[in-house]
Amino acid sequence: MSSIIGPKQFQIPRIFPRPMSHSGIWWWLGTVDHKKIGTMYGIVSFFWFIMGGIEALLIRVQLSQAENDIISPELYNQLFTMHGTTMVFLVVMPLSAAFFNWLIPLQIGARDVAFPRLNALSLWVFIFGSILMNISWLTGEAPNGGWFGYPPNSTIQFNPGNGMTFWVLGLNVLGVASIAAGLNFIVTIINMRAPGMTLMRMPVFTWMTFITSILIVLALPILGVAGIQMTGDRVYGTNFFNSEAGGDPIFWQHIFWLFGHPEVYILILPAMGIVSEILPTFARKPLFGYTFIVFSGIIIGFMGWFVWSHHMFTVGLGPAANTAFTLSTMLIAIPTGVKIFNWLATLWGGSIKFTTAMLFSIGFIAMFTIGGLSGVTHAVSPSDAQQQDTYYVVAHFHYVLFGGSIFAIFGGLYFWWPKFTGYMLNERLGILNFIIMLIGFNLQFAPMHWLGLDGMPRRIYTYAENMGWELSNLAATIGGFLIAFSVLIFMVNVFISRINKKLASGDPWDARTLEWSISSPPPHYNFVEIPKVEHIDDWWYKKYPELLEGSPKQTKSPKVTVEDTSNVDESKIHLPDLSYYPLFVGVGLSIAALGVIYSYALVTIGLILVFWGCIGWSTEPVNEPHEKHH
Amino acid sequence: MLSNRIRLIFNMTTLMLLSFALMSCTPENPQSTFDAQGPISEIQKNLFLFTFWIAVIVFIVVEGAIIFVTFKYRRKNDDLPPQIHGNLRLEITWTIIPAIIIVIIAIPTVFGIWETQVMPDEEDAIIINAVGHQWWFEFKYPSEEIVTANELHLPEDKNVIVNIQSQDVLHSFWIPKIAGKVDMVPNHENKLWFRADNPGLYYGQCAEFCGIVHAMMRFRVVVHTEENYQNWLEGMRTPPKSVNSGSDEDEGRKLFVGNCSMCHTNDSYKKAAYHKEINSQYNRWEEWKKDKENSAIVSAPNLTHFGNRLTIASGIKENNYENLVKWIENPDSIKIGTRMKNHANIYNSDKKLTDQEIQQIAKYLLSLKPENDSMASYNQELKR
Amino acid sequence: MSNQDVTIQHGEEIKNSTGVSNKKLLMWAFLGSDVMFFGTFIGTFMAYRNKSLNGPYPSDTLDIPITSISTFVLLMSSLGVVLALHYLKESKMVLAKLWLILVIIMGMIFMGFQVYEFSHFAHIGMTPQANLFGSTFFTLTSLHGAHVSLGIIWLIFLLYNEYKGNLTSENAIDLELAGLYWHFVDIVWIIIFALLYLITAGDGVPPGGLPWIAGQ
Repeated sequence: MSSIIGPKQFQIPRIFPRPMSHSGIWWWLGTVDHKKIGTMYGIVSFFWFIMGGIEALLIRVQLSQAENDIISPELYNQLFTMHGTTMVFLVVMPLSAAFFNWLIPLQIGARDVAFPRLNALSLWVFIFGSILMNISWLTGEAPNGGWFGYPPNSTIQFNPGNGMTFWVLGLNVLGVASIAAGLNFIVTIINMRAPGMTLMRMPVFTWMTFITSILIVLALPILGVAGIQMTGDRVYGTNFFNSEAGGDPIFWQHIFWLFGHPEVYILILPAMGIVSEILPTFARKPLFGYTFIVFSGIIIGFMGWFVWSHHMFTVGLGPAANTAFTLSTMLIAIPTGVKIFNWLATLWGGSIKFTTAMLFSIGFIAMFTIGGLSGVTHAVSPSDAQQQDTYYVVAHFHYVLFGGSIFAIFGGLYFWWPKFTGYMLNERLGILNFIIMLIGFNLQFAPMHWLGLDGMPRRIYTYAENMGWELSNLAATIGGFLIAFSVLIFMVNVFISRINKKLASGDPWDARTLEWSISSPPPHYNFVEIPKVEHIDDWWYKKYPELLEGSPKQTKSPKVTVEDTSNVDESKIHLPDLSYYPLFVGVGLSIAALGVIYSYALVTIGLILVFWGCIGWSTEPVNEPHEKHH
Repeated sequence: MLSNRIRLIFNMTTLMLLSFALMSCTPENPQSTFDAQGPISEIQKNLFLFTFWIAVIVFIVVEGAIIFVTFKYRRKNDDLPPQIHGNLRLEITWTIIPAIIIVIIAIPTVFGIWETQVMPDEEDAIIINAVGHQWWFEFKYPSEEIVTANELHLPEDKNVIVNIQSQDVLHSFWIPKIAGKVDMVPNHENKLWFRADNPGLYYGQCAEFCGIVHAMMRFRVVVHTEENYQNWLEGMRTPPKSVNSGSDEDEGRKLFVGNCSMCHTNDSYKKAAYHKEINSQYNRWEEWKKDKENSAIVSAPNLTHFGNRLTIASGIKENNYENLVKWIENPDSIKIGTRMKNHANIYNSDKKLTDQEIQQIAKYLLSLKPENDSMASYNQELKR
Repeated sequence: MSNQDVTIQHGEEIKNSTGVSNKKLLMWAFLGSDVMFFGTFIGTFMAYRNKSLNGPYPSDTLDIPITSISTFVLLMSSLGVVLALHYLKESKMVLAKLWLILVIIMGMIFMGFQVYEFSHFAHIGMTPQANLFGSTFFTLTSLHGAHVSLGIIWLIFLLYNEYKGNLTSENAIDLELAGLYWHFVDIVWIIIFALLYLITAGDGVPPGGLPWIAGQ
């Protein structure tokens, strides 16, 4: 709609003028630059990581002793619900989005994503959606029905009050953000690759982002439907999950897990992409089996749709269904395992430098393997009948989500930090960060495997004295505090490094993909000249063309250097102008959602903001006419 | 050197993990799944161990490779390593080998699914209806016409088929040493079958989040010899020992009738009491639904022959005078969030009980044992 | 984006990898996600078919003849969009505007029928709160109706721009995108009509009695 450019261009009247200046608060609030958006995603989701971590520590303090009474059952139920919801939706997904935003245009040789304002919308909807969900703490009624909110416990009949309504509305709002981002990246990756970059020459991180984006746009709508149905039940009296009216609690589980299983691949594939970039860089050899890794990602994305009921093995589906899902779940272990071997083979025979990024990536392989193996034991549905809803499951998913996704994300932070900020993070603090995190993590979650096999169920705020569970729980609590300490080290690292500002070159790691061919941080237009791509790891082979013919022992000095931006005439550059409409729409959506709980006036205000914002956006040109530029 | 230190860290971590694993062999713990006491839990345990040891091998291979690689291939100089892009044969091999391992695991698994999830003949089995409530377990024996709560009595070596139901929200029925869990779902009737090999006391716990005090929804399973089981059945149909008029127990009985019996039935030993109790529970449930905030009537555990129960508050505390007094005086002191505390008149109106009245009710309840007290003998065995 | 010129362009002028403009690709991807959205609601309807514990039941309420008319109108409106686009591309502006007006009117007629139908249902006690049928029927058809309404607003906006001279054969893609959306909404309706009306409208009291309830 924004290309309705005609002699009588229609713009709706503005409340206040379009921000144009590249400084001040509006440079951030109105930005449509993928790099700024990525930074904001990163900062906000890191904040939620701290919040989710505090929620976890409170849980661990309560569980450190049997029959403890520091935290009431009501508060405890809110804590574990919000911890899970926060970590999945407000931490891992948006941290991945931070990386998508920063890296995809750079890795494919583009100047921005396909729809910069839509990109900004995703950010603002996420930020205000996350605030919406957490406002519930202030009302004293945070959601308390578990991160998967099973009815009837989460219905208004058994869970009166606003807590779970906040949860379900928050999830729906956040879903809009994810879907918009997914759509944006699909179009960007398909349509905006630099000349010569065929699909099979894309970096693995870009591939994983692509598959993740497809999963997002297909899976999040399913959650949206469940959310609308539960909102209908809780607020408007519909009957979808009302067992008194014949509603079926199992139906929620089916819808939720049809979303939920692809969701876990949404959570892990970007991490696998990050690791696939870091390992070859610091082993100084190519990723082993690029084709297999890409295809196994595609297969995982596809097969992930057929395994959902392995979350429901104890619900009474019957032996036939349980057999089908056992088999499909076991099958999906195969492409996952293939990746692990390919990564190992990348390291094998390499020349490994143990930077912090590399340590986290190797840690990822080690921890994810453990999580993957416990996952295989879950696939065996008879023994899963003992493991389901115990701490064994908690161990499994923390190994893959923390030992997997979070480790990879930390690796990615250390790896790309110079690119994002222009300075290096301190490596010694980084290594300390890694070591303490590795030890704390294992101390916390390894004992949970046998706590589960020893019969300790999930989601219990306390346990009896004579069960034999105290020592493991105490160990886990200590591990949790060690993790917290390691995160503190990371934050200190960020702070100190910012002060020391050890400037980074464009390519401090002698790396392989296009983002390293430009300065750190990149200029706002990314590339002086859009590269012409000839290979996978194109930057590497542009630097060392001699490697195309064989494996010499030494590389000669790089044939090309990082792009020189000193001769660029900035007045000739026209990137999309700032816009406040995405911010409007983002705020409006959350206000409307809040209004569903509190008052129709709020809904009206919110929707007016949304409509006004959308119309303004669609009639606003990408760039204002030239004379308005500074 | 840094890489040596790192190798040391990895090794230490692996060692720590392995030593932790050794700590996990604690089958003596009350809910350990490693102490399989029946064929279902045995099959489930064996399938787990089978998969587990295969996983251990994979673990050793992969983690071993990681440790090896981090040592052998650490950067020693500026030389470029051989730039290998892949090896199709190798990749196919390490696709096929996991596939074979998966098939090896799948075969006994599928047999295990059918063995554990297809119900045996009903003729030779004991049929139990287990109903989950917030936050207690109701157990009904339809062919014996007996109803009880929070304590399931069974004979050894006989198939048991449990019809698993829920009155309100999702719960789960789980006796780790005897069988894996099956969820209790409203509007569904799930089935679980198992057999207990040995007499003894077993612990059960709800394993599906069901609200505020899910953590304290537990139960006990008492497995008897066939003879003791028959005694128990007989005892459940026998009236309790009569109480002396004017005694504390007698006063307690009157107080019970006046303050507790609208929710708690305790005379299901009578003829035709079984169907009466089913109706009563249904009516109480309907009453509660009419006014969930303030209803004075809720579904509550059946207390017939309560004196012989091993625990109170659905498996939370030992059933003795002290705990019982504490419980009646203030349920929140033992289990926060119960319907009893929120709805019973004695907590929410001027009809509060005096200390003496509470003691009398406690004494009365503890006196509820069958006349011939045929159950006393096995109780001794079970006091661990 | 060319190498010499650092100016960003948007829209279909970009030399991109597939030859399909970014906007069109976005619309297709969006429609793909909308398929999952409607698919889940339709799945819910079918899963809860014949599970309501009380009436009103479909056979008491749904009226196939009347809904057939509104369905026909909606189908014709899709044809209208095709024609409107065709004439726009040929710069035959009078016909283009005429057909676009007709599409908008037909969309509004469809919505009018929906409003009439819903208020009639409310009168006879069929509400989203009444039973499972009410809940599933109303959410599905209302969300479809919301999609139609948003489409109508979009088309009105495009019509306005046609009058202002901003929508011409050169940027006809903007009408094409609305057309794609409109066709999708129409196809969803065809499926809804087939399932909710043609196939299940005869459902009365569920066979086999009521589902088991705890207490027995």
